[in-house]
Amino acid sequence: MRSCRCCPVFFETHGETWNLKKILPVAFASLVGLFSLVQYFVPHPSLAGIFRELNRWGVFIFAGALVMGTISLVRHHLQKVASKDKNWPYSLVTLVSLFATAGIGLVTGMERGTLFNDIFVNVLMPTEATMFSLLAFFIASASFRAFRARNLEATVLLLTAVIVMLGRVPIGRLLWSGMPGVANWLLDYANTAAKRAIMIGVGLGIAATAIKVLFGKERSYMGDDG
Amino acid sequence: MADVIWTWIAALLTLCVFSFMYKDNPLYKFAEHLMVGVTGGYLICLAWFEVIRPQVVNPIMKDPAAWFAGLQFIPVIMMLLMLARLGEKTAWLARFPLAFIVGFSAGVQIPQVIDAEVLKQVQSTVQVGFDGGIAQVAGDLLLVVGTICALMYFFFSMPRKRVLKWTSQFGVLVLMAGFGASFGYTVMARISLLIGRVLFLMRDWLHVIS
Repeated sequence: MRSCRCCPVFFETHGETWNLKKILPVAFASLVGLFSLVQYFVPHPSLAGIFRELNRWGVFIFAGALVMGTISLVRHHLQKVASKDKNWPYSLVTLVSLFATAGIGLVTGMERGTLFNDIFVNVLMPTEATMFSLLAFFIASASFRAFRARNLEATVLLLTAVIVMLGRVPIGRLLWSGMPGVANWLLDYANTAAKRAIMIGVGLGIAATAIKVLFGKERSYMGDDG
Repeated sequence: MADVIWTWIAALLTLCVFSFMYKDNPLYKFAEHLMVGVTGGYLICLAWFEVIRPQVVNPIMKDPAAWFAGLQFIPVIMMLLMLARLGEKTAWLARFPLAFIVGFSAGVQIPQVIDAEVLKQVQSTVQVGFDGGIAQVAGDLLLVVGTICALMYFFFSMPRKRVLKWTSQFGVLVLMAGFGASFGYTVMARISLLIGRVLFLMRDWLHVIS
């Protein structure tokens, strides 16, 4: 590790240039992380109080992220409208609907019976539900391509998927009365075994990544320059 | 009358989204962009009514000295630092709130995840009863053997020979069965949503069915 001659806050280690813009957030993350880890093992009321307070701060950052995301969205669409980009009228639709919804919501509130709630129930909910329901068609077409019983693994995938689907609809019971029972058995045991193995792997992965964050080895959250 | 207008709006938007099944078209694009805009507006209101007004504005208006003494300005500063990302030169400041969230979550998750996703899962796997009917005993056996074999499949530190080869091959079959079951379950959930939308169109909008 060596310091830079012109500025003491810049130094190099393992071929990587560090400065305070990098060091301070990493140190901050380590400090907060170590505190939240230690307080789990130290059941003292004062630590629990600080932990609760820090936990509450997360909500503020979440709100800041929401506002930041919305401003970024507005900026993106404003640029498209200003430069008369391709499909700019749709950007105008986004901007008008965003400001109208936000304006109405801030004036009327979010309670039931308000115009804002009507917009939520009759515009946002049906559009989102229909978008997700569209996935039924795309999943069906994807399964036609994916579910070719080319080998044993693909055949097992195909069979379990078909049995679970048939077991969940009345026609499955009409075809064979035991179909719902087999579908439930597959969901309760085969599915649980697979999910459990994945969960254990994911759990160990999360713990390893969290330890890397605490030691400042994992810095991808800082963006490209991290 | 207002109900009728809202039902018509919801129905037309539903049809706009369904038009994507034919191909990408202006009606779908309109509905898509409208949804993005309304979601943005909704999130602004959510941030205002759930966080900013009750936890920042109201306490400041009520007792500014107590608010300041309680160090409540720190999360507000962190919230504002998130907005620093919008400027090119100030973008690095947004690393602090992100570092807070990431560091805090990392520290919280280490004991919680090891407890809930590793130890509890292992405990549930080795503590199966092997009692009840033949289906349950077979299921319990599959649960124990299947979980171990599926874990063996994720063990990449040794060459797949002999025991590891056979166990990992069985593990793949268990994983495939699990994926198939999850896939079938997801498809049915989407079909259920589709039925809901079609029911809305037929019952609430067109009044074709009761």
